[in-house]
Amino acid sequence: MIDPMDRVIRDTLADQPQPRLSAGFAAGVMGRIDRRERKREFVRGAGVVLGVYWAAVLAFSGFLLAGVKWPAWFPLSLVALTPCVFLAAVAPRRLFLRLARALSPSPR
Amino acid sequence: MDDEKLIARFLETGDRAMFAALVERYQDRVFRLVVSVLGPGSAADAEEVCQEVFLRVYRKVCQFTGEAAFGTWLYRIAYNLAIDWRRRARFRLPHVSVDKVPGLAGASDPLGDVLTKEKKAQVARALEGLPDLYRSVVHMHYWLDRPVGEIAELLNIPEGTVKSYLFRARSALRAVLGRSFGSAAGEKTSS
Repeated sequence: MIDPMDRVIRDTLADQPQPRLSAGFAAGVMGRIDRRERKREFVRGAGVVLGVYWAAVLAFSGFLLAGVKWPAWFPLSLVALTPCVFLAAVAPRRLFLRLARALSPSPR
Repeated sequence: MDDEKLIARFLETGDRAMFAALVERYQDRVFRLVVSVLGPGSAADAEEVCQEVFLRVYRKVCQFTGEAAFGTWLYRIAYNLAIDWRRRARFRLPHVSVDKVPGLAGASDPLGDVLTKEKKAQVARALEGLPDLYRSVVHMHYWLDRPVGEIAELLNIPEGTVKSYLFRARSALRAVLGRSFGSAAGEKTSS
């Protein structure tokens, strides 16, 4: 027994082109993964640098507000750190990547 | 190397070549599954969805417990993403009349062509009205010419269930088209 609906459906869909996956699909996926991972590492690296900077700023403010005499090296270190942060912000992202990789040994 | 070993090596070493091997191993099947959900004329969208599938798998592969086969887990993600995409696309894309789908255009005999074109348009509309799972099975079987065994594997259901879905899909189409198609599609004939 052949269901006539079988032929009707087959005839209707026979005109539709057979879809094909493009040749470089796997490379495209891996490229997107690489870009996404680089972005994640960049954000993580930038976060670490900014975190350190803001921690120093908060500590400095704390010393100021508490009226405690801070160690002599403290303002100097903050002054030294400030250009580093601005330099890092305009530096190639490779700097952040290296920093992030050094801080997180996990590949993922 | 089997899937579980590839995943274990990938998680251990972070070597993306391992993941690339998985992508190459499964890309065609995932694509067929996705395109069967999205339907004809959606190859570009299907490729986009497939990329999303593998990106999601890359992010979540550490959550893969190995209780089911990797393929089963992957196909489930692909099917769900494709269904989501299809539902969103319904609101995102402008409606294109079935009559304007190039594959449905006729040629030489004007009257015959008009009738054929109209019938095909009716079938295409009826197919669009099927439940997601039935439509996907019908597309895989009749359009992509996939064997029942492969459809069963992609949807993680027994082969008997695939046949049952095909039967029910044909019955549903017959119920919708029976009146306009008359006896040709309305009842079974012997070959």
